[in-house]
Amino acid sequence: MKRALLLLITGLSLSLVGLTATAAQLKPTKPRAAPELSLPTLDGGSVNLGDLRGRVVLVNFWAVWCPPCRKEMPSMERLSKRLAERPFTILASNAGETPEQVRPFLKEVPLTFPILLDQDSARMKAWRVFVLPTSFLVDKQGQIRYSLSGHIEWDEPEAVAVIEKLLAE
Amino acid sequence: MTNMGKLLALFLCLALASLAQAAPIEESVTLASGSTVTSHRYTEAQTGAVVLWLTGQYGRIEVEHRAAAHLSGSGMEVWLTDWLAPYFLPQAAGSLAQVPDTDLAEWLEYMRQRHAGRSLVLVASGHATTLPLRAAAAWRVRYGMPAPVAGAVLLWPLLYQDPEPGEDPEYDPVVSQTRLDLAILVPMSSAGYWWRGAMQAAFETAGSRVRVTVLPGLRDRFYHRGDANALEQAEGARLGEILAPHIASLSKETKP
Repeated sequence: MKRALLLLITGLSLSLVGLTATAAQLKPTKPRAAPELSLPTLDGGSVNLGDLRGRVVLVNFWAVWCPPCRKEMPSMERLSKRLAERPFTILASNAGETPEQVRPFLKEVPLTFPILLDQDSARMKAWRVFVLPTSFLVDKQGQIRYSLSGHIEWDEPEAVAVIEKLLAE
Repeated sequence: MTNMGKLLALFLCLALASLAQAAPIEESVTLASGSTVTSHRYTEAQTGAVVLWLTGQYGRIEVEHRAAAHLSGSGMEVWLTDWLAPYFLPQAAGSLAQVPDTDLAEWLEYMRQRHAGRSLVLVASGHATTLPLRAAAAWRVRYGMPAPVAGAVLLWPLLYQDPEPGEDPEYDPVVSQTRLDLAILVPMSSAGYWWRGAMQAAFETAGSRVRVTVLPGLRDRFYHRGDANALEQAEGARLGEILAPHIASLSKETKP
Protein backbone atom coordinates (compact mmCIF):
# COMPACT_ATOMS: atom_id res chain seq x y z
CA MET A 1 0.00 0.00 0.00
CA LYS A 2 2.79 2.35 1.05
CA ARG A 3 4.73 1.37 -2.08
CA ALA A 4 1.73 1.97 -4.35
CA LEU A 5 1.16 5.39 -2.79
CA LEU A 6 4.82 6.30 -3.24
CA LEU A 7 4.68 5.23 -6.88
CA LEU A 8 1.53 7.26 -7.45
CA ILE A 9 2.97 10.41 -5.87
CA THR A 10 6.28 10.08 -7.73
CA GLY A 11 4.46 9.41 -10.99
CA LEU A 12 2.11 12.35 -10.61
CA SER A 13 4.79 14.86 -9.68
CA LEU A 14 7.12 13.76 -12.47
CA SER A 15 4.25 13.76 -14.96
CA LEU A 16 3.62 17.42 -14.11
CA VAL A 17 7.32 18.20 -14.52
CA GLY A 18 7.28 16.27 -17.79
CA LEU A 19 4.30 18.20 -19.11
CA THR A 20 5.99 21.55 -18.72
CA ALA A 21 9.41 20.31 -19.77
CA THR A 22 8.24 18.68 -22.99
CA ALA A 23 5.83 21.36 -24.24
CA ALA A 24 6.62 21.79 -27.92
CA GLN A 25 8.10 25.08 -29.00
CA LEU A 26 9.81 26.58 -32.01
CA LYS A 27 13.55 26.17 -31.71
CA PRO A 28 15.98 28.44 -33.51
CA THR A 29 18.35 26.46 -35.71
CA LYS A 30 21.69 27.28 -37.25
CA PRO A 31 20.60 28.78 -40.59
CA ARG A 32 21.01 26.31 -43.42
CA ALA A 33 19.61 25.98 -46.92
CA ALA A 34 16.24 24.27 -47.00
CA PRO A 35 16.28 20.98 -48.94
CA GLU A 36 14.44 20.87 -52.22
CA LEU A 37 10.66 20.59 -51.94
CA SER A 38 8.81 20.27 -55.20
CA LEU A 39 5.64 18.20 -55.07
CA PRO A 40 2.19 17.80 -56.59
CA THR A 41 -0.66 19.25 -54.60
CA LEU A 42 -3.95 17.68 -53.65
CA ASP A 43 -5.88 20.02 -55.95
CA GLY A 44 -3.90 18.86 -58.99
CA GLY A 45 -1.30 21.62 -59.13
CA SER A 46 2.29 21.61 -57.97
CA VAL A 47 4.44 23.67 -55.65
CA ASN A 48 8.16 24.33 -55.62
CA LEU A 49 9.62 25.86 -52.48
CA GLY A 50 12.40 27.36 -54.61
CA ASP A 51 9.80 29.59 -56.31
CA LEU A 52 8.84 31.13 -52.98
CA ARG A 53 12.01 33.15 -52.36
CA GLY A 54 11.11 36.47 -50.79
CA ARG A 55 8.41 34.84 -48.67
CA VAL A 56 8.55 33.31 -45.22
CA VAL A 57 7.37 29.70 -45.51
CA LEU A 58 6.04 27.38 -42.85
CA VAL A 59 6.79 23.85 -44.07
CA ASN A 60 4.76 21.33 -42.10
CA PHE A 61 5.07 17.53 -42.39
CA TRP A 62 1.93 15.72 -41.34
CA ALA A 63 -0.39 12.76 -41.86
CA VAL A 64 -4.09 12.17 -41.35
CA TRP A 65 -3.40 9.19 -39.06
CA CYS A 66 -1.50 11.47 -36.68
CA PRO A 67 -3.82 13.09 -34.07
CA PRO A 68 -1.47 15.97 -33.08
CA CYS A 69 -1.03 16.80 -36.77
CA ARG A 70 -4.78 17.11 -37.17
CA LYS A 71 -5.02 19.09 -33.96
CA GLU A 72 -2.75 21.92 -35.10
CA MET A 73 -4.24 22.29 -38.58
CA PRO A 74 -7.09 24.67 -37.62
CA SER A 75 -4.57 27.02 -35.99
CA MET A 76 -2.47 26.91 -39.17
CA GLU A 77 -5.54 27.87 -41.17
CA ARG A 78 -6.23 30.81 -38.83
CA LEU A 79 -2.58 31.89 -39.12
CA SER A 80 -2.76 31.66 -42.90
CA LYS A 81 -5.82 33.93 -42.96
CA ARG A 82 -4.33 36.33 -40.45
CA LEU A 83 -1.19 36.80 -42.58
CA ALA A 84 -2.97 36.59 -45.94
CA GLU A 85 -1.76 40.02 -47.04
CA ARG A 86 1.84 39.39 -46.01
CA PRO A 87 4.64 37.49 -47.82
CA PHE A 88 3.90 34.31 -45.89
CA THR A 89 3.00 30.82 -47.15
CA ILE A 90 2.13 27.55 -45.49
CA LEU A 91 3.00 24.27 -47.23
CA ALA A 92 1.57 21.17 -45.57
CA SER A 93 3.41 18.13 -46.89
CA ASN A 94 1.46 14.95 -46.32
CA ALA A 95 3.62 11.94 -45.56
CA GLY A 96 2.80 8.86 -47.56
CA GLU A 97 -0.96 9.00 -47.90
CA THR A 98 -3.15 8.94 -50.98
CA PRO A 99 -5.56 11.72 -52.01
CA GLU A 100 -8.40 9.38 -51.05
CA GLN A 101 -7.02 9.16 -47.52
CA VAL A 102 -6.48 12.91 -47.20
CA ARG A 103 -9.72 14.29 -48.67
CA PRO A 104 -12.13 13.10 -45.95
CA PHE A 105 -10.09 15.02 -43.37
CA LEU A 106 -10.33 18.20 -45.43
CA LYS A 107 -14.10 17.86 -45.43
CA GLU A 108 -13.96 17.95 -41.63
CA VAL A 109 -11.32 20.67 -41.46
CA PRO A 110 -11.35 22.83 -44.59
CA LEU A 111 -7.90 24.24 -45.36
CA THR A 112 -7.03 26.88 -47.91
CA PHE A 113 -3.24 26.46 -47.95
CA PRO A 114 -1.64 23.91 -50.30
CA ILE A 115 -1.56 20.25 -49.29
CA LEU A 116 1.47 18.61 -50.89
CA LEU A 117 1.46 14.90 -51.64
CA ASP A 118 4.74 13.23 -50.69
CA GLN A 119 3.45 9.77 -51.44
CA ASP A 120 6.73 7.91 -51.06
CA SER A 121 7.82 10.23 -48.21
CA ALA A 122 11.05 10.93 -50.09
CA ARG A 123 10.83 14.62 -49.15
CA MET A 124 10.09 13.80 -45.53
CA LYS A 125 13.27 11.75 -45.49
CA ALA A 126 15.30 14.41 -47.30
CA TRP A 127 14.20 16.92 -44.66
CA ARG A 128 15.18 14.45 -41.91
CA VAL A 129 11.77 14.27 -40.30
CA PHE A 130 11.54 11.48 -37.73
CA VAL A 131 8.34 12.33 -35.90
CA LEU A 132 5.05 13.81 -37.03
CA PRO A 133 4.15 16.57 -37.00
CA THR A 134 7.43 18.36 -37.67
CA SER A 135 7.58 21.93 -38.92
CA PHE A 136 10.24 24.27 -40.26
CA LEU A 137 10.21 28.03 -40.72
CA VAL A 138 12.10 29.01 -43.86
CA ASP A 139 13.14 32.64 -44.23
CA LYS A 140 12.93 34.83 -47.32
CA GLN A 141 16.38 33.66 -48.47
CA GLY A 142 15.39 29.98 -48.35
CA GLN A 143 17.21 29.26 -45.10
CA ILE A 144 15.74 27.09 -42.36
CA ARG A 145 15.67 29.26 -39.25
CA TYR A 146 13.37 27.47 -36.83
CA SER A 147 12.14 23.91 -36.36
CA LEU A 148 9.61 22.16 -34.23
CA SER A 149 8.84 18.51 -33.40
CA GLY A 150 5.29 18.23 -32.18
CA HIS A 151 2.24 20.41 -32.40
CA ILE A 152 1.51 23.95 -31.26
CA GLU A 153 -1.22 26.52 -31.71
CA TRP A 154 0.26 28.45 -34.60
CA ASP A 155 -1.79 31.59 -34.09
CA GLU A 156 -0.73 32.08 -30.49
CA PRO A 157 1.42 35.14 -29.74
CA GLU A 158 4.75 33.28 -29.29
CA ALA A 159 4.58 31.63 -32.70
CA VAL A 160 3.25 34.72 -34.44
CA ALA A 161 6.07 36.82 -32.94
CA VAL A 162 8.69 34.48 -34.38
CA ILE A 163 7.07 34.64 -37.82
CA GLU A 164 6.72 38.44 -37.62
CA LYS A 165 10.42 38.64 -36.81
CA LEU A 166 11.27 36.70 -39.98
CA LEU A 167 8.82 38.77 -42.01
CA ALA A 168 10.52 41.96 -40.80
CA GLU A 169 13.98 40.90 -42.01
CA MET B 1 -24.99 -39.23 -16.74
CA THR B 2 -27.49 -37.68 -19.15
CA ASN B 3 -26.35 -36.02 -22.35
CA MET B 4 -27.11 -32.65 -20.79
CA GLY B 5 -25.02 -33.59 -17.77
CA LYS B 6 -22.10 -34.66 -19.99
CA LEU B 7 -22.28 -31.40 -21.87
CA LEU B 8 -22.29 -29.44 -18.63
CA ALA B 9 -19.29 -31.37 -17.32
CA LEU B 10 -17.42 -30.78 -20.59
CA PHE B 11 -18.23 -27.08 -20.46
CA LEU B 12 -17.02 -26.88 -16.84
CA CYS B 13 -13.77 -28.68 -17.73
CA LEU B 14 -13.15 -26.32 -20.65
CA ALA B 15 -13.94 -23.28 -18.52
CA LEU B 16 -11.58 -24.46 -15.77
CA ALA B 17 -8.84 -25.23 -18.29
CA SER B 18 -9.25 -21.78 -19.78
CA LEU B 19 -9.05 -20.17 -16.34
CA ALA B 20 -5.96 -22.20 -15.49
CA GLN B 21 -4.33 -21.06 -18.71
CA ALA B 22 -5.18 -17.41 -18.21
CA ALA B 23 -4.29 -17.01 -14.55
CA PRO B 24 -0.72 -15.79 -14.08
CA ILE B 25 1.51 -16.56 -11.14
CA GLU B 26 3.31 -13.64 -9.55
CA GLU B 27 7.02 -14.36 -9.23
CA SER B 28 9.69 -12.15 -7.69
CA VAL B 29 13.43 -12.26 -8.18
CA THR B 30 15.63 -10.37 -5.72
CA LEU B 31 18.85 -9.17 -7.32
CA ALA B 32 22.26 -8.45 -5.78
CA SER B 33 21.44 -4.73 -5.86
CA GLY B 34 18.59 -5.42 -3.46
CA SER B 35 15.95 -4.66 -6.09
CA THR B 36 13.07 -7.08 -6.35
CA VAL B 37 11.79 -7.61 -9.88
CA THR B 38 8.27 -8.99 -10.03
CA SER B 39 6.83 -10.74 -13.05
CA HIS B 40 3.53 -12.26 -14.03
CA ARG B 41 4.30 -15.74 -15.28
CA TYR B 42 1.85 -17.38 -17.61
CA THR B 43 1.86 -21.20 -17.84
CA GLU B 44 4.16 -23.72 -16.33
CA ALA B 45 5.17 -25.38 -19.57
CA GLN B 46 8.34 -27.42 -19.14
CA THR B 47 9.27 -27.22 -22.79
CA GLY B 48 8.93 -24.69 -25.58
CA ALA B 49 10.07 -21.10 -25.82
CA VAL B 50 10.24 -18.85 -22.79
CA VAL B 51 9.08 -15.33 -23.61
CA LEU B 52 10.51 -12.53 -21.48
CA TRP B 53 8.30 -9.50 -22.10
CA LEU B 54 9.81 -6.35 -20.60
CA THR B 55 7.36 -3.53 -19.94
CA GLY B 56 6.73 -0.65 -17.57
CA GLN B 57 6.44 2.59 -19.52
CA TYR B 58 2.64 2.46 -19.52
CA GLY B 59 2.08 0.36 -16.43
CA ARG B 60 -0.16 -2.66 -16.65
CA ILE B 61 -1.72 -3.06 -20.09
CA GLU B 62 -4.51 -5.63 -20.10
CA VAL B 63 -4.08 -6.36 -23.81
CA GLU B 64 -0.51 -7.50 -23.12
CA HIS B 65 -1.70 -9.81 -20.36
CA ARG B 66 -4.34 -11.30 -22.65
CA ALA B 67 -1.69 -11.78 -25.33
CA ALA B 68 0.57 -13.48 -22.77
CA ALA B 69 -2.30 -15.79 -21.83
CA HIS B 70 -2.83 -16.55 -25.52
CA LEU B 71 0.85 -17.35 -26.04
CA SER B 72 0.84 -19.61 -23.01
CA GLY B 73 -2.01 -21.48 -24.66
CA SER B 74 0.37 -22.17 -27.55
CA GLY B 75 2.81 -23.91 -25.22
CA MET B 76 5.03 -20.92 -24.50
CA GLU B 77 5.94 -19.74 -21.05
CA VAL B 78 5.57 -15.97 -20.75
CA TRP B 79 7.08 -13.70 -18.11
CA LEU B 80 5.54 -10.25 -18.24
CA THR B 81 7.78 -7.97 -16.23
CA ASP B 82 7.37 -4.34 -15.21
CA TRP B 83 10.89 -2.87 -14.98
CA LEU B 84 10.01 0.57 -13.62
CA ALA B 85 8.07 -0.54 -10.52
CA PRO B 86 11.11 -2.08 -8.74
CA TYR B 87 12.81 1.31 -8.73
CA PHE B 88 9.69 3.39 -7.97
CA LEU B 89 10.18 5.12 -11.30
CA PRO B 90 7.32 7.02 -12.95
CA GLN B 91 5.69 5.48 -15.99
CA ALA B 92 7.50 7.50 -18.63
CA ALA B 93 9.98 6.88 -21.41
CA GLY B 94 12.57 8.97 -19.56
CA SER B 95 12.56 6.52 -16.67
CA LEU B 96 13.83 3.61 -18.74
CA ALA B 97 17.42 4.88 -18.74
CA GLN B 98 17.46 4.65 -14.95
CA VAL B 99 16.99 0.88 -14.91
CA PRO B 100 20.47 -0.47 -14.12
CA ASP B 101 22.08 -2.59 -16.84
CA THR B 102 23.65 -4.78 -14.16
CA ASP B 103 20.19 -5.68 -12.84
CA LEU B 104 18.93 -6.43 -16.33
CA ALA B 105 21.91 -8.72 -17.00
CA GLU B 106 21.61 -10.48 -13.64
CA TRP B 107 17.90 -11.07 -14.16
CA LEU B 108 18.59 -12.48 -17.62
CA GLU B 109 21.18 -14.82 -16.11
CA TYR B 110 18.61 -15.97 -13.55
CA MET B 111 16.20 -16.72 -16.40
CA ARG B 112 18.91 -18.61 -18.32
CA GLN B 113 19.70 -20.81 -15.36
CA ARG B 114 16.07 -21.41 -14.52
CA HIS B 115 15.19 -22.39 -18.08
CA ALA B 116 18.33 -24.31 -19.07
CA GLY B 117 18.10 -25.78 -22.55
CA ARG B 118 15.09 -23.71 -23.57
CA SER B 119 14.95 -20.81 -26.02
CA LEU B 120 14.58 -17.40 -24.43
CA VAL B 121 12.88 -14.81 -26.63
CA LEU B 122 12.74 -11.18 -25.53
CA VAL B 123 9.77 -8.92 -26.31
CA ALA B 124 9.24 -5.19 -25.81
CA SER B 125 7.59 -2.19 -27.46
CA GLY B 126 8.28 1.46 -28.16
CA HIS B 127 10.91 3.14 -26.01
CA ALA B 128 10.97 0.07 -23.75
CA THR B 129 12.68 -1.87 -26.55
CA THR B 130 15.89 -0.51 -25.06
CA LEU B 131 15.41 -2.82 -22.05
CA PRO B 132 15.79 -6.26 -23.65
CA LEU B 133 18.60 -5.01 -25.85
CA ARG B 134 20.46 -3.59 -22.85
CA ALA B 135 19.85 -6.80 -20.92
CA ALA B 136 21.40 -8.88 -23.72
CA ALA B 137 24.29 -6.47 -24.30
CA ALA B 138 25.11 -6.19 -20.60
CA TRP B 139 24.95 -9.99 -20.20
CA ARG B 140 27.36 -10.38 -23.14
CA VAL B 141 29.82 -7.93 -21.59
CA ARG B 142 29.56 -9.53 -18.17
CA TYR B 143 29.97 -13.14 -19.27
CA GLY B 144 32.05 -12.63 -22.40
CA MET B 145 29.79 -14.84 -24.50
CA PRO B 146 26.92 -14.27 -26.91
CA ALA B 147 23.77 -13.46 -24.98
CA PRO B 148 21.77 -16.59 -24.10
CA VAL B 149 18.72 -15.58 -26.07
CA ALA B 150 17.26 -16.82 -29.33
CA GLY B 151 16.30 -13.30 -30.34
CA ALA B 152 14.02 -10.38 -29.66
CA VAL B 153 10.70 -9.20 -31.01
CA LEU B 154 10.62 -5.40 -31.08
CA LEU B 155 7.26 -3.72 -31.57
CA TRP B 156 7.60 -0.21 -33.12
CA PRO B 157 11.05 0.32 -31.59
CA LEU B 158 11.68 3.95 -30.63
CA LEU B 159 15.42 4.04 -30.21
CA TYR B 160 16.34 7.56 -31.25
CA GLN B 161 18.19 9.84 -28.90
CA ASP B 162 16.22 13.11 -29.00
CA PRO B 163 16.13 13.48 -32.80
CA GLU B 164 16.46 17.07 -33.97
CA PRO B 165 14.37 17.97 -37.01
CA GLY B 166 16.57 18.32 -40.04
CA GLU B 167 19.53 16.43 -38.59
CA ASP B 168 20.65 12.83 -38.88
CA PRO B 169 19.41 10.84 -35.91
CA GLU B 170 21.55 9.22 -33.30
CA TYR B 171 20.34 5.85 -32.12
CA ASP B 172 20.48 4.64 -28.54
CA PRO B 173 24.04 3.29 -28.10
CA VAL B 174 22.56 -0.15 -27.42
CA VAL B 175 21.74 -0.46 -31.13
CA SER B 176 25.44 -0.68 -31.95
CA GLN B 177 26.02 -3.07 -29.03
CA THR B 178 23.35 -5.52 -30.13
CA ARG B 179 24.20 -8.84 -31.77
CA LEU B 180 20.87 -10.62 -31.88
CA ASP B 181 18.32 -12.06 -34.23
CA LEU B 182 15.59 -9.48 -34.32
CA ALA B 183 12.00 -9.48 -35.53
CA ILE B 184 10.94 -5.84 -35.84
CA LEU B 185 7.23 -5.09 -36.24
CA VAL B 186 6.55 -1.65 -37.69
CA PRO B 187 3.05 -0.15 -37.96
CA MET B 188 2.56 1.31 -41.41
CA SER B 189 0.92 4.51 -40.12
CA SER B 190 3.96 5.78 -38.30
CA ALA B 191 6.99 7.91 -38.99
CA GLY B 192 9.08 4.86 -38.08
CA TYR B 193 7.66 3.04 -41.12
CA TRP B 194 9.53 5.41 -43.43
CA TRP B 195 12.77 5.00 -41.47
CA ARG B 196 12.60 1.21 -40.98
CA GLY B 197 15.36 0.64 -43.53
CA ALA B 198 17.72 2.97 -41.67
CA MET B 199 17.03 1.24 -38.38
CA GLN B 200 17.51 -2.19 -39.93
CA ALA B 201 20.81 -1.05 -41.42
CA ALA B 202 21.98 0.31 -38.07
CA PHE B 203 21.27 -3.03 -36.37
CA GLU B 204 22.79 -5.07 -39.19
CA THR B 205 25.94 -2.97 -39.28
CA ALA B 206 26.42 -3.85 -35.63
CA GLY B 207 26.03 -7.58 -36.31
CA SER B 208 22.36 -8.33 -35.75
CA ARG B 209 20.18 -10.28 -38.14
CA VAL B 210 16.96 -8.39 -38.74
CA ARG B 211 13.60 -9.23 -40.22
CA VAL B 212 11.16 -6.32 -40.52
CA THR B 213 7.42 -6.91 -40.74
CA VAL B 214 5.06 -4.08 -41.61
CA LEU B 215 1.68 -3.97 -39.86
CA PRO B 216 -0.71 -2.37 -42.41
CA GLY B 217 -3.28 0.15 -41.22
CA LEU B 218 -1.93 0.36 -37.68
CA ARG B 219 -0.24 3.10 -35.69
CA ASP B 220 2.37 2.91 -32.95
CA ARG B 221 0.82 1.73 -29.66
CA PHE B 222 -2.13 0.39 -31.64
CA TYR B 223 -3.28 -1.81 -28.77
CA HIS B 224 -2.90 0.91 -26.18
CA ARG B 225 -4.40 4.10 -27.58
CA GLY B 226 -7.32 6.14 -26.33
CA ASP B 227 -8.27 6.86 -29.95
CA ALA B 228 -7.82 3.33 -31.29
CA ASN B 229 -9.92 2.74 -34.40
CA ALA B 230 -11.85 -0.42 -35.13
CA LEU B 231 -8.95 -2.09 -36.92
CA GLU B 232 -6.52 -1.25 -34.12
CA GLN B 233 -8.92 -2.64 -31.53
CA ALA B 234 -9.39 -5.80 -33.56
CA GLU B 235 -5.64 -6.27 -34.08
CA GLY B 236 -5.00 -5.50 -30.41
CA ALA B 237 -7.40 -8.28 -29.50
CA ARG B 238 -5.26 -10.68 -31.51
CA LEU B 239 -1.88 -9.39 -30.31
CA GLY B 240 -0.90 -12.85 -29.13
CA GLU B 241 -1.62 -14.28 -32.58
CA ILE B 242 0.44 -11.51 -34.18
CA LEU B 243 3.44 -12.19 -31.95
CA ALA B 244 3.31 -15.99 -31.91
CA PRO B 245 4.84 -16.72 -35.34
CA HIS B 246 7.70 -14.27 -34.78
CA ILE B 247 8.53 -15.78 -31.39
CA ALA B 248 8.26 -19.30 -32.79
CA SER B 249 10.45 -18.42 -35.73
CA LEU B 250 13.18 -16.88 -33.56
CA SER B 251 13.15 -19.77 -31.11
CA LYS B 252 13.58 -22.26 -33.95
CA GLU B 253 16.25 -20.36 -35.85
CA THR B 254 18.81 -20.03 -33.10
CA LYS B 255 19.81 -22.34 -30.32
CA PRO B 256 21.01 -20.48 -27.25
